[in-house]
Amino acid sequence: MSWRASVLRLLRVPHDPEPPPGSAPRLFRAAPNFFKLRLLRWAATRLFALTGLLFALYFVEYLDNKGTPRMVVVLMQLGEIFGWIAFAVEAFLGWCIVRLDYELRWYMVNDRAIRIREGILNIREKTIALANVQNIGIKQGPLQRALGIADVEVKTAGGGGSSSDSDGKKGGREPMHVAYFRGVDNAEEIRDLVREGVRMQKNAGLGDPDEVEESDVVAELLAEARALRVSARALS
Amino acid sequence: MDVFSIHRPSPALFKYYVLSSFLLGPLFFVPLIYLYFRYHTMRYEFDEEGISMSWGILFRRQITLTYARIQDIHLTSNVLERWLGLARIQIQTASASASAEMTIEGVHEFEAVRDFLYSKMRGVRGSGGQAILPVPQEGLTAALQEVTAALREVREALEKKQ
Repeated sequence: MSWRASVLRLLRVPHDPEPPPGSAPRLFRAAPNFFKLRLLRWAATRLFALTGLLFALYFVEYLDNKGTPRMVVVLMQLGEIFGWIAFAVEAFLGWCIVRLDYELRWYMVNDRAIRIREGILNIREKTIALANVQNIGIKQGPLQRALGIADVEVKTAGGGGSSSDSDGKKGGREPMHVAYFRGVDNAEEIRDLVREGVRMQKNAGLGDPDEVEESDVVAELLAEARALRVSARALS
Repeated sequence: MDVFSIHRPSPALFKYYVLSSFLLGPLFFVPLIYLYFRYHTMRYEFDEEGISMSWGILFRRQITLTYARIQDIHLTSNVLERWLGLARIQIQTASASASAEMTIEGVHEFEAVRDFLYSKMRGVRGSGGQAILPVPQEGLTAALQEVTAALREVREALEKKQ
């Protein structure tokens, strides 16, 4: 698809995110219904704009019949034409962005970190070490429930963001200590995976320097010895 | 890429500041004056323990944070920044502020810096990017015995080879 490639080039969308160091990550994507929901929102706002444009059309007609000076009517007609063109361009671009925003979403979880990349115009990539995760939740609105999708919310310690903009859309700015797996259809699975990952970490996630524990040293030694044995076997 | 050698933001950051101020229209000079001095006084210092960053001419500001206290790392960029090859690295600690504790701007090697910070942040350090292994269930003795057995096998393999 050429529109896709050219939009990506124009917006300088970087390559796919690298997985966080650690074990091979599990990659989750937004569900197809997430796209449907976004499309619905896009259609609803465009419909609103369309109503406005149609009303303006009617209004110009009305002024014309009322015998308003010719000049004013022509100016308004020009404005109307401009409005329609802008509407078409904006609707198309908006659709592209909705589509790409759905496609270019990565939610990665491995044994020590979460990495989430989202966004098209404004690209955000978050990396959170599982050791720092404080709590995990699932959020689901009525429309999301109807479509069988939900958002998984992962929080780290620290404040930020008043409660009113906690869903990240109203203020336009997401609170910094929260990451979302938006529009996934396997929210429970992700929650359990993250929870299990957090359980494996030893510290409370409040910034105490990691202590090297004896058992870790032994585990590392053991792994090294096993690897050594494998390569020795390959040698002989 | 040596992260420790980063001290100044790239000139592209100044371009970004100029362009983003002009987006404000006739009032462009208001942020531009501030951003001009911000760019020219901005200094980074990466050391073994943490990062410090300072800027400002009338009101000076310096932030120092320790790698071990980093909670999460965000990499954000808007279209303008990407055209100039930049991104912002926003670093969070567990403090209560709503915005990032430190935003490293104007670094072209943002991915290298991110990976460096990631390897130093808490919960990740100390295992060189390897997967965390489960603590041996069998206990210390069994693990050490297995290590010994493995070493013996390696020695035997080497002796056979000679």
